[in-house]
Amino acid sequence: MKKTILVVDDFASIRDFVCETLQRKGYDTLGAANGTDAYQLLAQQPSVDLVLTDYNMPDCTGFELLKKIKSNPTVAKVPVIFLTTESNPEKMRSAKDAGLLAWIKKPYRSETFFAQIENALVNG
Amino acid sequence: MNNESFPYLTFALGEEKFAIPVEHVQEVVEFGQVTKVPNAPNYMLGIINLRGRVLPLLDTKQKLGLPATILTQKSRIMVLDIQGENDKNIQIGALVDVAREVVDIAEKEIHDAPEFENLKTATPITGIVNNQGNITMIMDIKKVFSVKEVLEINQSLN
Amino acid sequence: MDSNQKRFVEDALDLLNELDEGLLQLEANPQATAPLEQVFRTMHTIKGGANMFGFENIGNLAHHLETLYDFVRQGKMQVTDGLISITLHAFDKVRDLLQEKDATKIANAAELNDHLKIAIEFLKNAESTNIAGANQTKIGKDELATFFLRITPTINITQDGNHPLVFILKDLEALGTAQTFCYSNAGNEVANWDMFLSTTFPQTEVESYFIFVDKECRLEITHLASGDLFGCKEFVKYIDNHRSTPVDPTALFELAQKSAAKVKTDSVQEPDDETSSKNKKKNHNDTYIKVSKRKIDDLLNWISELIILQAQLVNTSSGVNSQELTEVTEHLEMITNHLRDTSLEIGLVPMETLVTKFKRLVRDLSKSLNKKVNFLSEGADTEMDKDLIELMTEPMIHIIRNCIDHGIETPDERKAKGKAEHGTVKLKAFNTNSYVNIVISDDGKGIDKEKVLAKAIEKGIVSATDSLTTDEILNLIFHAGLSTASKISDVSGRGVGMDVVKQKINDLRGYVTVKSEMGKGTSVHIKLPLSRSIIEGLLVKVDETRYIVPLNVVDRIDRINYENLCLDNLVNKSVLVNEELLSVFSLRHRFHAKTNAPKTTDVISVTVNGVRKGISVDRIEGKMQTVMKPLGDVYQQQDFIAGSTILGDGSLALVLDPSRLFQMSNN
Repeated sequence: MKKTILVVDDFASIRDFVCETLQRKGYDTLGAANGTDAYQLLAQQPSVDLVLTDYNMPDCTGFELLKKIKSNPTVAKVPVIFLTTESNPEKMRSAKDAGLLAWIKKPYRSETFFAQIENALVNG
Repeated sequence: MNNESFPYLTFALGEEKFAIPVEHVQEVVEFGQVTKVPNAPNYMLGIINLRGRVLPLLDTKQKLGLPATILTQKSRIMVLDIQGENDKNIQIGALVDVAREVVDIAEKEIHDAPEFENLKTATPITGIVNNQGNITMIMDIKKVFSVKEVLEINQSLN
Repeated sequence: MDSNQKRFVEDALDLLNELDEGLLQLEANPQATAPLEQVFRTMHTIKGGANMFGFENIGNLAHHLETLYDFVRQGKMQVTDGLISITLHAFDKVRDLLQEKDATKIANAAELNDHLKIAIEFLKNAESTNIAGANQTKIGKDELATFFLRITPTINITQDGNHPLVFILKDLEALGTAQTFCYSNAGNEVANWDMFLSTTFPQTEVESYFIFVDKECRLEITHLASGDLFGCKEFVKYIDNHRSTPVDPTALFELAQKSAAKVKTDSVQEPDDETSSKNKKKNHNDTYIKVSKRKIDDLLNWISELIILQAQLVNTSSGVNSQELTEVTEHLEMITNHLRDTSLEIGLVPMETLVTKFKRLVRDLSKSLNKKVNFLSEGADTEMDKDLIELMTEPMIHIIRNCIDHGIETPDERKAKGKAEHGTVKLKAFNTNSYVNIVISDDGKGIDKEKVLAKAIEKGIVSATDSLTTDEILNLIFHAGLSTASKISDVSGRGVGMDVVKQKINDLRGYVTVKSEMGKGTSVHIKLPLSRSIIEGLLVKVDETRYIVPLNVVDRIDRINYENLCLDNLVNKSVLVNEELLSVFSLRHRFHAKTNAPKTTDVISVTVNGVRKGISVDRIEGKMQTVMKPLGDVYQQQDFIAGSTILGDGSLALVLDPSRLFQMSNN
């Protein structure tokens, strides 16, 4: 069965590009422009297998989204990966403590990108 | 008054002879095909294809307020260089009845022109050469064909 | 100004655009390293060029600002709104100055002094308080160092496996110069990796790559020495000798210390291309050269002439019965077609520069109006004629201003409506046929149809009894004198209305329409022809004159009797065409009334500015693609004719501008 990935980024062009990239690899995708929408989507669609989100977004950052997800038992099991230009080690550690599965830095190489996604979907 | 003389292209509208400084004239061609552009004043006959260039063709007689040119074998188009908008130079074609030769006219031969009342453009004639009763009128084509004026007349007519 | 200075000015303007982009990204992500590096690098480049070409005042200003950003890189200062603002303002001034044609005027400009003062003050503050940033990691950021990493997996991994760890190591290698050895055990699983890495990235950042795989591996990392040990022959040899057996870390360390003494610490190694910010110019694997625009225009003119001549050749040779001639002419036609296509592309550049400008605009505007607005763009790589981009900048700026000023509500208003506090202004660009489409939309409060209609009736633009479709009402906003803003804010300005925007777009032979939904938002759709001289159209005849109707507005063609168009004494001035009532403009009745009409007329249905109308001609003769020549200044008034084109037989056809044509019937 196809896996569904929720892509969250406030830049439509990036969001669309990432979704397209994933679709070509055989994944189903959903898109959200901000953390709030993403969380709502997730709550309604429990079939999401992975959340791939930007870090720096207005209103609700990726980090806040992560915390929301992990504190809701219904969706807490869904793995979350950050896809961001952010590279501050402190932030990375805090995110890990909050339950983040992986951190992909932008610009990314496709190999790394897909390996992390695969790994997340298999090992969660 | 000096003794200098300059070359002029002479041409005829009806029975009358005119002359314009040769420096404004690019060439003289025979009348061929003209494509009329609708909704334009009568003296704007349309556009012509001159070896790949598209030029507007104006009827000199109508522009001066005279009856329209009647085409004959001798009708010619003078391709003129005049000042367009923004002081750029543009080319236009001016239709005349007969195109004559280029002659040298000396400054001292040119006398002041008398007032012409019935012409639609203000004093386009800047001088007169009287060669034993043979009158040639020196025309200021800048005044006859100025684009600014063409546009003004256009606007008042529309 | 000499040619070098001119070159510098051109380059500088491009760089300033990149700088803006970097600053805006940095503003959105104050901790991000990539935009910071880009900003620093760009300022450095501007400084160098400015000093070299005689603009020391610009160089000096850039130097002081560059120092500020160096402080940030060192962790001595944080990126703040204030810092970004003074930088943006300072370089805005530089941009203005560079528009000056006189080099001495630029060099002597006193305007930069104020900005210089501000920059120096900022610097003093930073030095005195020396805010040690939360990022101690930034100290010595750009110092080159060589590290030794030993990664020992605690799970079963194969070297060519798909585990993220494998790819993380490859990502690390991309941070600088690296040599990696993999040692497998008997079962072909990885026992450990040894990586020698020289990079400008600090140790903490290198370590951070392993944060999320700490359950899958163990990391030992040693800072071997400052500088790039790969420049030392002994070191390289030593590593090479250990391809099959792992090095002894202690021995390695000793060797490294000795080698480091020999290796001169080179100047800062430029961060790898891959780690630059994401908006690096697209690498199409092309080399670019600068060519003067005049040369390009000349070239394009000659190509246009060639196309015309080739059509004439086809015409002339059709009468000659020669196989060889036909082959040659067909071949020539193929080549000219290619030439034409290439020439169309030459003058096209992507819209990216416009996008950065708009980002700035949205940022500045939303700040001054106390609104929160995001700017999104899609299709910034869509290409447009360079001149067209410059001409369209002002109209689009005005539309965006409108979106923010009149469209997007204040954060409180939006919250009350259940919308996100941040409004969105989106620019979308894409190609269709031979048109470039630009859609500027916002998710604001939309256009109040009733208000617009009421105002239009009040001003006598429409009568109360007219029945208008929603689209027609919305498009009334393009009418001069119709402004529904309750107050004229300084931002949108006086005298620059949507009517001027529409006029400018029409002047470029483009179309603009607006769509809107109350409470949801508004979108402005602009359509511009890609090439202003080559058009595709229907060749038609009316009386003895030939016209061309541009193909992209044509919907369908029908044939009816000419007598159906005699509507002078009727109330209903529309005609039944294809079972639809259509308002038809008859070229014959308007321009060729004096000669006798044939029995039937071909009616071409076109859609212009959202409205469907018909153009009636005697006969449609065919479809053609042709080079259009302007009529010239003399025919300015006759703007319903876009230009003329030379047909194969040397005669001329008049190219119609349908939009302007229909405006005539309103008079």
